[in-house]
Amino acid sequence: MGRINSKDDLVKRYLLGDLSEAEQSALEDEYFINPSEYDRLCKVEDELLDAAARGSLSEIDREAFERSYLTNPQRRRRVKFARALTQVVDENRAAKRAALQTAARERIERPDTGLSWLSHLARLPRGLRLALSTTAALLILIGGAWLVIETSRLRARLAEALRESEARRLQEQTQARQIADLEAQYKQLAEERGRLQAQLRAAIEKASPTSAPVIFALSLRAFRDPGGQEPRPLIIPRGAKEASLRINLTEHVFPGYQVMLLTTDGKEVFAIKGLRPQATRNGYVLIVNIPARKFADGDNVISLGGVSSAGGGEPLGSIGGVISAGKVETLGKAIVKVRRR
Amino acid sequence: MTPEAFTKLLAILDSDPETAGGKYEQLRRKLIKFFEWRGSFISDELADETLNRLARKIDEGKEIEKNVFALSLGIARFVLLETLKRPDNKRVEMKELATVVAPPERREEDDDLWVVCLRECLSGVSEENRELIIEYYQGEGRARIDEHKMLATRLGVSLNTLFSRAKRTRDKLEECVRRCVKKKSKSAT
Repeated sequence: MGRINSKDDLVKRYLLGDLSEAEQSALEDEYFINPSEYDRLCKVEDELLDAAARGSLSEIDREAFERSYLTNPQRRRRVKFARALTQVVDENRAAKRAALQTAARERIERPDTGLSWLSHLARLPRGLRLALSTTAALLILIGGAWLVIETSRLRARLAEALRESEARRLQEQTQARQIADLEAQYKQLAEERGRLQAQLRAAIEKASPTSAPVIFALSLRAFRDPGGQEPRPLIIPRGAKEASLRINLTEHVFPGYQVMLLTTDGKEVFAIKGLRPQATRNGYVLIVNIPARKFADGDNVISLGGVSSAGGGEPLGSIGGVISAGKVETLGKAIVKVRRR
Repeated sequence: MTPEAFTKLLAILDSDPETAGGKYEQLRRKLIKFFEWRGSFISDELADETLNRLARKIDEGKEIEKNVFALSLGIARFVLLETLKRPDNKRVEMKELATVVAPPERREEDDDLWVVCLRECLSGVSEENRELIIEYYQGEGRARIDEHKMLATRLGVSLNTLFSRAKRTRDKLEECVRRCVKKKSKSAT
């Protein structure tokens, strides 16, 4: 008998008297309460008996089996029964197999001609033959009618399924076409958008040809006598960010200078202090960059002041006055007429 | 066992008399097997003795704490112990007895008788049960397990149910064959 699992093996050892007293008691407690455990013992015992009857026990098991079973008259009877049972079962099985093999052989050797049943039928009494024929004809008729109905029903279902499939296919084609059209439109629009953006950029560049500062120059005279002169025109092109003011100084007497942009009514718009003039061949020049947006359209006032070394403070009045340290002396104002284009 | 004690034992086994009868038989079978598996030669007698004592205890008003089956097992162990202690029941190793008790075993003839009886008994059971017993007990090991699975599937029952059916038929057949062998042996002598 092969070992199936440890519990079955334990049961087998119990049956062969190989367990300790404690192990036996534990197993007995279990099978007395639990019917499935009792069934397991019966099953393992039957397998043990059948294996012994078939002579397939291992040497050790066979010895233990003989010691436990063959010494007990009751158990010996069980062994005898098992021998008889396995013999009958095995013979029966062998007979069944042989019968199956014979039948198979006969089928091979004597294949059906297909006429034998007809000859059997021909041997039947006429009345019975007629009844059988009528019944068979009726059955064929009913079966045929049923087949016709079933076939037409199946055909209708098939046609419907085909129609549905065709409609789905057409719908899918239409949808695919629509998707392709939309994709082409999208591509075209994207290209158009790119073209327009390029045009826009070009137009902007054209509209503001330069962002370089507008340079304009004023002489010191323009500050000293603004009333006797026309306002100096300053054209600021569209897009120009700065106006670079160059003031030519004939003399350089202050450590620093201040330039302010004022409205015509004297309000400060922009100021820059601590400017130092640059020396040129023709004297000195102050360069001031004023944001173009600070200029109002029309008249603007630019004030020039000299700053003492400390820088800042009240304007001192006339250009020839004494300069206090850190004070500003207004050297003059010039009017600039701004136009944008 | 008095009829009153037996009635009380049945009432403890189950309130329904029919079910109680079934459980009584089940308990008796388990006790017989217990004594047989413990190597007793007279398992039937010892099982009946155990049941008598159990019924007596119940009749005397013994409280059943856990389970009547567990109580029976306890009593059965005492009965077994007593039996083993009896001087006439002293058992010795087979090796010691081998030369003395080894009976002349007419195995082949005897076996033939058992086979003849089995065939007779098989003809007395239903065709369904005959098929079952032939199919259930064929093969060994893995092949037998697979056969059981296929058979259970074919019959639409669980493996446990299949085993119970086969075992019932086997036990009945065994009983029938024993009677048959006994009868034929007697008539032969």
